[in-house]
Amino acid sequence: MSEKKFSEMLSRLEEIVTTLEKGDCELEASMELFDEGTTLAKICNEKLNNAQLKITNIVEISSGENE
Amino acid sequence: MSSDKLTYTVSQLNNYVKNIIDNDPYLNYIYVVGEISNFTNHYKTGHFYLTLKDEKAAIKAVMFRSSAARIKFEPQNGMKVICRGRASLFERDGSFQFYIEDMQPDGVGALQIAFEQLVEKLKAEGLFDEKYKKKIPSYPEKIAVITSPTGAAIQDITNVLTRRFPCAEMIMCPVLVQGDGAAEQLIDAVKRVNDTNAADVIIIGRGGGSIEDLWAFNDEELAREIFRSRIPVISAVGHEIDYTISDFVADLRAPTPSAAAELAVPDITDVKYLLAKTEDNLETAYLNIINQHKARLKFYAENYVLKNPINYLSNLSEKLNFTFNKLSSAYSTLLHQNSECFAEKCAKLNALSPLATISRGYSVAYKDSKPIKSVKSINIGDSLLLILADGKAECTVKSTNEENINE
Repeated sequence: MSEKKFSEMLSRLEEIVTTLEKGDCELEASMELFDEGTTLAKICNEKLNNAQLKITNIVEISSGENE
Repeated sequence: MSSDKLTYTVSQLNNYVKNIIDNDPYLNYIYVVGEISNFTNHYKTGHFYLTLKDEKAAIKAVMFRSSAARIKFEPQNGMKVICRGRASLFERDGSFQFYIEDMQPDGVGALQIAFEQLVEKLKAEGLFDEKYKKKIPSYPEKIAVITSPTGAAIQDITNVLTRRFPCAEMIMCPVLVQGDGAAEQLIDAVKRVNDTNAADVIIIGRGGGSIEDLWAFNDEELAREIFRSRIPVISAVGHEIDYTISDFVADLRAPTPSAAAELAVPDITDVKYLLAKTEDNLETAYLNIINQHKARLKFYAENYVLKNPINYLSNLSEKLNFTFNKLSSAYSTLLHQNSECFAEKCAKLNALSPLATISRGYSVAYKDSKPIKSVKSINIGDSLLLILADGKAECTVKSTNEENINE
């Protein structure tokens, strides 16, 4: 699975919020974190807004593809 | 056996009776219901020896290893069983016995007994231990569903997933869920999902049915495959009241396939809310940091040095003047002190000067440009230079006389 998992992105986003909430980081670092956070939130939202349940048959998944 | 011979050996008798019994068309293939007693599992041979009885009668029975190894439960004394087999005579002992080929528990049913015994076995091996249960991921993106493609279960699961978490992907693993080959297909599907790493969570199950219908989910090998699965497994077999081995060994048991889907995924509304809240927090935290930095900047920008540099400079120049004045006064004090000291030293020096002594009436005599300190250093006729306060005089020594003028 090449793209990042939703759960990973969400926990990274939460981690960023926690770091920023501590408030002790440099301005430049916090700007970078904020950028990263908004990007993650955007991707997460895009994933959530994909409203059509995708249905794939296991036979279409070859053993090499997902490893 | 002819009627005129009235005496036989025991062997002949037993053999005769055995032949009669063995040639009977009914006694060769019959079912007998009875209760087990005197059960012995002969360890060396693997044969079972027992007595079948009812309220009024009993018969010795034997089940040879080839048949005994096939049955799926352990016979116990007191157990009511249905046995298929043949009746015959054991010639050596002259005993009439039943040769069991197949045995099924009567009453509770063979499947139930087998089920309970397998539960005990796997439980003893630790396959159901809580410590092996894997956590169901909070946000699974791919959900493998191992069930019949035509049953109600797949419909229910699809509906729930569509309603609750439509951003997910459902990986369909169509299998037979009952009958011959069902267990093998279920095992293969679990294995395949793991091998291809196709999902974050597996739902395995089917709708309701009789114990026979659900039987594939009690398969020992399936239980072991589920136990081995790296991907967490939710089992949902039959209705709420049905329990199968798969339910026990799975990481989570759901009462129905719909419930399994509910347990597998979060509600998208909750996730969206959580994400929105996290985004808000992100923005707030960031703005706080920006504001902190702004406040710091403001604090320094409002510092009077930056705000009013002329004041600052004039202060500095005042300070400079003050320091300069201090320096110059200190310098002049020092100079004054030193000049006084100099005059004093000059006076002292003056007092010690030979010129002063000369001015008081003394004179200095030189010979060869050196002052004479002793009469011994001069001879008669020497030419001496005499220095006086107001001039010089050249003299010639007429005589010398050694004496101590201090005495």
